Amino acid sequence: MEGLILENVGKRFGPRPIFSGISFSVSQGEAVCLWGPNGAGKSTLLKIAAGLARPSSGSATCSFGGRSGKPLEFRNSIGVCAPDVSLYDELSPEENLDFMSRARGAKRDKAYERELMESFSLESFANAPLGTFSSGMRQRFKLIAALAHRPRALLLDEPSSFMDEAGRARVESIVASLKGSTALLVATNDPAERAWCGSTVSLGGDKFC
Amino acid sequence: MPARLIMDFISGAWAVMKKDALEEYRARYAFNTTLLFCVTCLVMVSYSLGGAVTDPMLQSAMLWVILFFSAMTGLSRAFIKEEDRGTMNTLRLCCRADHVFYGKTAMNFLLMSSVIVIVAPLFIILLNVNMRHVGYFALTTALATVGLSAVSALLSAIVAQARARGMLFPVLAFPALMPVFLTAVRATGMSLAEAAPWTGGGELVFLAAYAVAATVGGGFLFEYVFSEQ
Repeated sequence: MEGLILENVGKRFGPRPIFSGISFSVSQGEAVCLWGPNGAGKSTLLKIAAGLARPSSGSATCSFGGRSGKPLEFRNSIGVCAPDVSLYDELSPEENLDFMSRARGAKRDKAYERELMESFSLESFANAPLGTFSSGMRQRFKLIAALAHRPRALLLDEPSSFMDEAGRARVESIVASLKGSTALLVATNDPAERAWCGSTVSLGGDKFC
Repeated sequence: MPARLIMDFISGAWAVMKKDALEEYRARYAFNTTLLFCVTCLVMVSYSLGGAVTDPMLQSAMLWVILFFSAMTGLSRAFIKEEDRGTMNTLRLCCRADHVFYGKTAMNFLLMSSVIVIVAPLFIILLNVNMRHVGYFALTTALATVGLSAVSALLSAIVAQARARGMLFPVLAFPALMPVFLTAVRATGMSLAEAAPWTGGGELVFLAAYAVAATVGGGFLFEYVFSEQ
């Protein structure tokens, strides 16, 4: 299977367990929602899936191109848009994208980047410092940065937060266009975002719905 | 194949350094802080001593005390700013650990070198220093700065995850940088003295060995600090 695999994952902060025994997989072309109330551990589980946090038990692995390993070994195959993943305020979108592609050792697809910038109505801000952007514009650019290298797995944590109606609609259409080809993991407690996904992993008990 | 690996390494480390240099050029936080600290201290020392200190070793010690503490204020920010702004995860998602370490070390070196290029002439003028062996002085400061930059990059990554960052950095840096500090003081003192410093050479060999150990060892250790939280 190509995609993300989480096996028996648990996380505790000191003596406080957040979740335990979580197992699921997201194969390419599948969209899975991490669903639960605030504090259930959705963002933490998403960070574990991305390789940004270490699980207290269990493991998170990636499998792409006939190779398996830790998520961070697949930097060119994973895109993450989450509140804990910020971009550089002093740099412009153009400079942020240039840095990320060079750091990944990947060739830039400038035509695709321009297409994304236009689709999120940010094309006229390509050379403005990110520090001058509004919260909604930043969120739009975070999504562009997560998509720019055409990842095979896309991990989104409340992707349409801070966005206006047009932005939300754009995110929805992008998620819809990626559904058949990309492994999508969406952490949210917004029913509209949950509806984008084919299956749901619930955290924090059954009472939240 | 090895040529490609080397090119990938250089390209990755260069991307990190270029990004940091661009950020620093726009914000000028670390450079201004470090330079202002150095210049203020030099002026204060110069006024308070009024040319009374003529011993090369004492002059050299004053220079390195100022450079050491200015490095504590400027270089500690290499990773603290990434952690504070939430960009550490972006680095983890995009960069290999060794690229980040060597990119940050190179940026630290660039920052400290820029400060020293301005501070060294001021040191000579304000403290009425007779610089007899410029080449030896340049080599001493270059080698000591490499060690200082690599150790600072590693320690900055360690303390960035702690709460008492500002206090912890100098506490950890003091024992780790003591050997390079003492040797740099001695070697700089020799470059100000009349006797030819090149004949001994032990200080420069030590500084070079420290620089190599700090950059190579730091690169290995950094993997553990950087990867997962």
